[in-house]
Parts: sequence; C-alpha cells; structure tokens
Amino acid sequence: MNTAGTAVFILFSYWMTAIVRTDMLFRGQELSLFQFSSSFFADKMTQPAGFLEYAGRFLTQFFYYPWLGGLIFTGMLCLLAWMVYKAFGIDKNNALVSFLPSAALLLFVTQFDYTIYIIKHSEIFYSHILGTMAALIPVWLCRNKNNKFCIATIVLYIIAGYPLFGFYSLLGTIIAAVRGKNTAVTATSIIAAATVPLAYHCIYHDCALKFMYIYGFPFRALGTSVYLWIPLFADYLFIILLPALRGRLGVNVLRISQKAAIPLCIALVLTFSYRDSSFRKQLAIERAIHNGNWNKVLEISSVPCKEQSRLICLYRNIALFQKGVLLDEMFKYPYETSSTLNTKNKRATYTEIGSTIIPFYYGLANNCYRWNMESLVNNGACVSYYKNMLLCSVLSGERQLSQRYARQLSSTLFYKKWADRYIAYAFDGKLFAKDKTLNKVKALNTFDNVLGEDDVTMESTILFHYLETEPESLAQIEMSMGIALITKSNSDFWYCFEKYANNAAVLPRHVQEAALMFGMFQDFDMEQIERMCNRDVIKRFEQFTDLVREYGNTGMSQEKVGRIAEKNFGDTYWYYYQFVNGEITN
Amino acid sequence: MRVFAGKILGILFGIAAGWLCSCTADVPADAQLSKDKALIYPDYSRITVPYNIAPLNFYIDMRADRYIVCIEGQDNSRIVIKGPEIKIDPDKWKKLLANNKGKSYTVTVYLLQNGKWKALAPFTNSISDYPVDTYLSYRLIEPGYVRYDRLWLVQRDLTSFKEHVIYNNLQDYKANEMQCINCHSFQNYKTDNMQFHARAYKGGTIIVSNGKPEKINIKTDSLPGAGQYPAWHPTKQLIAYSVNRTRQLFHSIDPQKVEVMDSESDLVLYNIENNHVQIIRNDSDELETYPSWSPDGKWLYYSTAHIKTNGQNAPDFFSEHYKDIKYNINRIPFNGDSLTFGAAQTIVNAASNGKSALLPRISPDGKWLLYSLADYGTFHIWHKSSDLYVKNLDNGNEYELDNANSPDSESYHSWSSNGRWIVFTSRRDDGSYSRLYLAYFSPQGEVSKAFVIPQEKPLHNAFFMKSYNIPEFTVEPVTVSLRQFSKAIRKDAKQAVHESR
Repeated sequence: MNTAGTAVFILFSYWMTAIVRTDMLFRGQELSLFQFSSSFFADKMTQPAGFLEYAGRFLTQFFYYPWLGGLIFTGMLCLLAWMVYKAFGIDKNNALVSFLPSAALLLFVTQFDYTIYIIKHSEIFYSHILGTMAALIPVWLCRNKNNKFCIATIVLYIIAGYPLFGFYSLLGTIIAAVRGKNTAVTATSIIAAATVPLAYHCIYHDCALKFMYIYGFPFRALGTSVYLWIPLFADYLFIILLPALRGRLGVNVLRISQKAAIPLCIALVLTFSYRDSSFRKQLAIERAIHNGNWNKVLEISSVPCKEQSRLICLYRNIALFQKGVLLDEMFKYPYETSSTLNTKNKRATYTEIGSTIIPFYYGLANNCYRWNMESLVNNGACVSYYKNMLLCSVLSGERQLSQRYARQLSSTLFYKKWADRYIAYAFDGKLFAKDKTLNKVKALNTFDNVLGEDDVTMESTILFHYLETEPESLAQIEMSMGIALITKSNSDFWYCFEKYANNAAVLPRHVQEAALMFGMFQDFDMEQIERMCNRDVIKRFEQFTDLVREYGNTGMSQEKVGRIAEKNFGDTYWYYYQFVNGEITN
Repeated sequence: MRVFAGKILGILFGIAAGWLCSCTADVPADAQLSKDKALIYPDYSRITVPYNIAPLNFYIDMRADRYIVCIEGQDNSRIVIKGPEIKIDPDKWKKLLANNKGKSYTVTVYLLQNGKWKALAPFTNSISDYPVDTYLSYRLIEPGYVRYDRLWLVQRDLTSFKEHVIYNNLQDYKANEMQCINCHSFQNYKTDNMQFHARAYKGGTIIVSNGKPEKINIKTDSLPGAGQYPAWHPTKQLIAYSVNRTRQLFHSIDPQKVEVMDSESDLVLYNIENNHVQIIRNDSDELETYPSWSPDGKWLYYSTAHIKTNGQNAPDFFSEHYKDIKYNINRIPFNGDSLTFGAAQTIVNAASNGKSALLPRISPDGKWLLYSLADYGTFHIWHKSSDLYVKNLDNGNEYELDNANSPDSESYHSWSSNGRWIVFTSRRDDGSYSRLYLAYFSPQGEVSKAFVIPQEKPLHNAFFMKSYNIPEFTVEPVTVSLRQFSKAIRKDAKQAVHESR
C-alpha cells in the first residue's frame, strides 16, 4: 500500500479522534460498559451480532485513555483498509482506494452529536468497523477459489457468522453473491442470506422476527437520528460496489481515484463531521468533573462560544459553588444560552442529558438516582450511570446499594480504583469528611422530604426545589440565593438576604449588587443597604443606572442599550437582570 | 439464544467443574474448633429447606488461604467441597436431602489461615418432609420508575437451576416503543389457564384458556382503566380484576424514593366464556384493589381504603394525604351460579391501627390469610415498613411473621400448593433490587427463617441487576410457547363487553 497516503490517513484519523475529539472518546467509554465476566458475555450473546457488541465494548473501554483509544481506533481503521485491499485484490497502484470504507466509518464517529449521550448501543464506535471486517471474510476466503469451495465456505460462514455478526454476515454473503461469477454461488449466497436468519429465529428467545435481518445494524441505537446512518450506508455501498465497479472502470479512472482517495477521505470527514464548540466544551467540563477539577471547569467555562448549551451554565455554577465563590462570580461568565441543543435528535434534551449528573451536585440525590435509573433502563447500563448511582447511594447513606454499584464498576478494567475510593466513604465517615466536594453536596442534601410530581425539566426541578425549600445551612442559603438571583425573584432574594446577612461575615459581590438594585426598586432605606456594600460596587451601580437612564431616554432599543452596557457591566447582576433573558431549558 | 449461549457456557463450565471436582477435597483432620460463625452469601444458615430444592450454593465471605466446606447429613453421608465458591454437585445434593428427609444436615466451614486449619462453628439446616412446588414464575425488571425496556416473564424450576422464558417483550416491538408486560396469574397452580398483561405497543390482556392464548381488551367505556391486578377463580373461567387509575410521585429525599398510588380503583369480574365484564365494587369513597379468591371460590378477598376528598381535586388530595391512605382487608361472598356477590365483611382492620394491609392471599387449606402490612399506601413493594403478617381465619389471631421479615420491604407473597411454603419478594439485600425469598410455614402457623431462592452461581444475586417480582407457584410448566404468545399478541384484541347487573 502507498506509504505516504497511509501515513496521512493515520495521522488524520488520530488527530480527528485522539486530539480533536479526546473528550468525546472519554465520554464515549463512560457511556459504555465492558465487564470481565461470563454472564456479561452471555448477556451480549442473546441476540444476533452479540459478538460485535461484546468486542465493540471491549475496545471502547480503552477510550479511557484517549491517546490509546485513538491509537487502537486508527489501527482498526487501517486494518479494515488492509482487509479491503486484500479481500478485493486491489491493485498495489490503487491501494489507497481501500481507505474509503474506513473514512466512512471515521465519519460515522466524528459526526456524533449529543446523540452520544442517549445511544442505546455504546459499542457502535467499533461494532461497524468489526462488522465490515466480518463482512469481508467470505469475499477474502473465496478469492480465486473454485465454486464448490465457495459454496461450502459461504454456507459455513453464514451459519457460524450470523450469531456473531448478524446483519454483517448477511452483508458479507451478499457481497459474495455480487462477486460470484457462477450462478450456483450467487444463488447459494442469496438463499443462505434469506433463510439462515429465519432458522436462527427458532433458537433465539430474545429476538423479533421482523428484525432478524438487521440485528447488528443500529436501528434502535440512534433513536430518531436516522441521518447518522448515512456514513454506514456509504460504507456498505462502497464494499458492495467496489468489486463490481473495478472491472468496469478504466485504468485512468482508477489512477485518478488513487490520487484522490486520501484527499477525498479527509474532505468528506472534515465537511460532514459535527462541529459544535458548546458540545466540545460540555464534554471537556464533564471530564474535568470526573477528575474533580473544579478550576478546570471554570477555566473551560470562561471561554466564550456560540450557542452555548444551558448545561454549561449549570456545570459552571456547580463549580463556583464548590469553590465557594458562586455569589461573587456567577455573573462574570457568559450567561446567554441556547434554548435547545444543537442536534436533530428529538430525544436529546437538556433534561435527558443533564439530569444524570447535575441534580446530584445540587444536592438532589434522589432525583439524580431516579434519572440514572430511567436512563439505564432506556439506554442500557454504563459506567457513567453506575458511577452516579454509587455517588447518590453514598450520599443517601444506602451502603448496600452503593456496594452493588461498586461491584459493577469493580468488574471493569479502569474503574475499580474509583469505586474503591467512593465505596470506602459509605463505610467510613472520617474518610467521607475529607472529601471537600461530597461534603459540600451533602450540605445541600439535608432538607425535609417532599413528595412531588415529575417537573417538566431538570432545571425547573432544581429551581423549584430551592425556591420552595427552607434553607438552613450556609451552603443551602448560598445556593438558594443563587437561584433567587437567576430567577430574578426579589421576594426570594430578600428572604435569603436576611438569613445570609445573619450567617455570613461579608456580603458577596452579586448579593451587594442585587441588594442595591432591588432596594432601589422597592424604595427601601438605601443608606442601610449601602452600609453593607463596598464603595466600588455602589459607585458602579450609580454608573450603571446613569447609563441605562441616559440611553433609555434616547428611545434606544433595549437590545442596543444592552450591548452598550455589556462592555462595562457585563459581569454584574444588574446587566443579567436587565438584559439577559431568563433560564431556558428543554 | 439465552439457552443457546447458556448451553455453550454450560459445556465450558462443565469441563471446568469436572476438572475442579477431580481435585477431591478432604476435611482437614487437624482443624482447631472455633466459635466464629461462618459468613456466607447468601445466608443459608439455620433454615428449613424443602427436600426437593436445588443445591443451596453459597460463597464464603471471609479471608483465608484455602477453604473447605463439609455438608453432612444425619445418615453420615458427606459432601466435601473446596471454596470459597461452594457449588454443590446436584446429584449428591439430591441424594443427601432425600436420605435425610424430615431430619437435618450440618454445614461446617474450614478455613486455612496463617498455615493452620480452623473449623468454624457449624450450622444445621432442617429438611422438610414437604416439597416445594417445582415451578415458580416471576418477572425480571429493573427497579425503575416510569420507563421500561427489556422485560422477561420467566419460569424457574426450583429443583434445578433451569429457567424458561414464558414471554419477553423482545418478540415484537418498534424501534422506539416497547411493550410492558406484567401481572401474570395462574388458575389454581395449573398453567392451562393463565394470564398476563401486555401494555403499550400492541397491548391487551393475554388470557390462556384451556391452553389457548387470546388477547382481550378488558377496558370498556364504563371502566376507569384496563384490568390490572388479577385473581383467577379456582375452578371457574372467571377472573376478578382491580381496575386502577394509578400515578407515581417521587420523594425528594426519602430513601423509599417513589410512591405509587391509586386515585381511583374498583373491582370487576371478567367471564372468559361469554367475554362479559361486570362490576363487583365501585364505591366512589372506596379504593378497592388486589382481589384474591378463597381456595373454595366462595369468597373474594380484597384490600380497600376509605377516602373522602371533600371536594379537593384528586391529584392534590393524594399527594398531600398519601400517608393517611390506609387499606383494610375485606371479603365478599360469591355465588358461583348467579355470579353475584354479597355484602362486605372486614377481615383485617388495619386502618384502625394506623396501618395499611394489602395483598390478601388465603392458604390452600383455607385457614390462613397472608398479607403485607405497612404504615400506609397501596404499593408496599416500595415501603420499607412493609412486613408479612398472617391471620388465622379459624380463631382470628393475627401476628407478624418475624422470621420471614426484615427491616426492608416484604411484599408480593404466594402460597405453595401444599400450603407449607411461602415465597415473597424482599428488598432486604440493598433496599432496591428485590429478590425472591422462600420460607417454611408450619401447620401451626409458624414460619422459619426465610432464604433467597438458590442460584447456580453463588454470587448471582450480588451482581444481577434486575429485580424479581410477582412470584407465583405452579405445579406444572407453562406449555404455551413463547411463539404462541407472540402470535396471540400480534393479533388485534377481542373487546370485552360490559354487562350491567
């Protein structure tokens, strides 16, 4: 194969995965699960293509180290290209054409959007690469062999291969049929592909007849995101058509194809890959949360991006709370958010994606546990849900339940240590007390029980909880105050203000800002309020009111005034209150 | 394919087990006696077991360099196994139980620690003369809230580890819509007449009558919902159902997490022969649910709560007063010729004691009423205060079955056909994942310590991530095949006809 072309593809693939999508790979393995146990294997083998699921999950776990996962992923793409090259007997001079299926499967992964959070089959990073390889087996074995050998090979292949590779074994048989220069081979292939799945339906208990031909294809995995199938179809079309076209295309066309192959691969992947800076930011934040690095969360949050996801605001506020500066800094960061996530997948909502993590850090362990369970039921078990459920159980003091999740994580390759650390907290209060993060969460997780209905969105659940719950500890007052500021509720603000003023030595900056503004609105005794505020805050407030008054009197639109105010007051509560629309989630 | 994969694994395990068994263990002669108790999982110590139960495999949850277990019958027959995972040879186990029926066997755990063998304090288990029914059906489901995905109705052979799938919702579904399957029920421990519900996609009630499955839509315009909790009449082709308007609410911090409640529930009778459904009880101030027949079919027992909403809208009333909803157990006489019911009698007045009694189940001899009692509400499977109680219907004595209960929820209980065994679900392991527990019930009404139904892999219950629920005994296997059920479900449901009386 062409060394330079191959090297370019390797570098490009590695760059697109391990470098550009390093956080997506990490999240991908968290949203997957592979366990070293016979029951895990048996469970995966209950449907056709079970081996692809098993092997795909096995390989996915190495995304834990994205540099390693990216290397393995790129290696698999190259192996696939080599198999295409060998199986179809492609001329050395045209070898780079073999990379086209690999490019399609690279694109399949790089076009993943928020759908990744709700994928039912987390093995899909690899299962289609492995499946395509499996589909090449009969083509390869039958190359330059006599018809009897081909017929026997195809029959044996589909009988043995269907339980392992499902749909891909049928694809392999169909390619063999297309390539078959003999009617008997073609007929055998077609009959075998048509009948073997039906025969297996008598053996499998966990299969629907109508899906017997497509087990292994992600017909359930991607929900409504049918557009994500397109690269897969490109992959199938290529391996079906390549042998058919090869004989018909002239040498010149092939030479052009050879030269164009790698640039074409790169162009296709770059053009159709999913690009969303908010998505990347969110993934990076979630990885920082896994590492308990709240500074990193803030660092990532401070980078402006277009159409920012609302979840980023929530994560950022969690980090600010953890750092003890929520009420000093929460409005310093960008607050404008998009009302929906940038995806065509209707199931990928803020609530669906955020509620497995965010409510926990707001002290709503029951709610978070519930959403993890719902997601587990919907999307299948994964490391992320087990981690969250373990944390929720530890926080709620449910030792035996936390042990159950710790056992599950201990059966994985990379999460035993993590599980050991947190399960120890369930049994050793002193150890728990040393964990700053969990202690701050625990301080929020103490309140009177309320029996309630499902709120429509995760964020409204959090907001209502803090607006309706009597805050007692300083941590709760702080969070309730933050929520009162976000919801622009002056009555809740003053309620918390009274409690806060009695508990805290110094009023945080945003609290001072809000006190000055709400005090002015309500004709309160401003002298008394100003005594609790810093001079520079009072001075800036005067400047802000002057500015708004000045431009407001000119008849300038609210939006234009906002843009002017943002330059000097974009980091204040006044700006947020006047010019940023309220919380929006779905 | 579960079976297929299981067979392959079985062969591999068989080879491994054969190799292991070839290393025959001997009881250490020089072991020092210790007063320490053996910590084993599951806890199979000091229990009464049926003589036909599958091997009670267990795991020794203690640190040691080597482990040996000796199981010794009163006839001096012995089974010696190396640990820590104790998997008992089924043939030897069967023989030991058969030879010691009505007697007991003793288990001694030996540990090699610091180069010395130690014999832990042995424990003895009784072997009952009474067999347990061979088959136990249950549903496997995640302990979830609103959502569901893959569900299985399974029948377990309790004399071995064989599991047979009665039905699962993977037979027919849409990419984005699955079926919920629930509430399986059998007539008088036989399987020729049985039923379960399929909800959502191609939903309906699947009724097997004389071996033939058919899908029925029990809900008529006159009913608040479809038939829910079923009870087959012991001899007639009649099924009593509760029809419930159910909702779920969520606790913000209580570890019970979820509250399932009915805002409306009535009782109806479905006549399979003429496809008619008639109302049994629909008092607007009463929530009647969980019907259950007496073994002679002359009485219908059920749970009922008296409510007065005083004009408050139902959702608000129930979420505010959920702890005040207390169920009693009533019964009404039934005339099998005229299909009419008489006046209600209160059998367990739990509400007067501030409690809620659910799921009445009468023992096959008609003497005992088994029920679950908790502080409030209608869904005790999520109530940690839920415990099993029994009432002697001859003398009226009511008492708690201490040996069967735990600090967590006990619920969904059933009697074996000989009345000597009870099976129930319990969340005692971790408060969330329910497991099936079996306990011996003596003719005098005493219950022995409950134990979890045995599994081939001792640690199965620690790792298995589904809950078991609604255990029902039968004396024969379900003969309708999965494909037959699937075919019946794919067809349109036959609409039941409402009959006014």
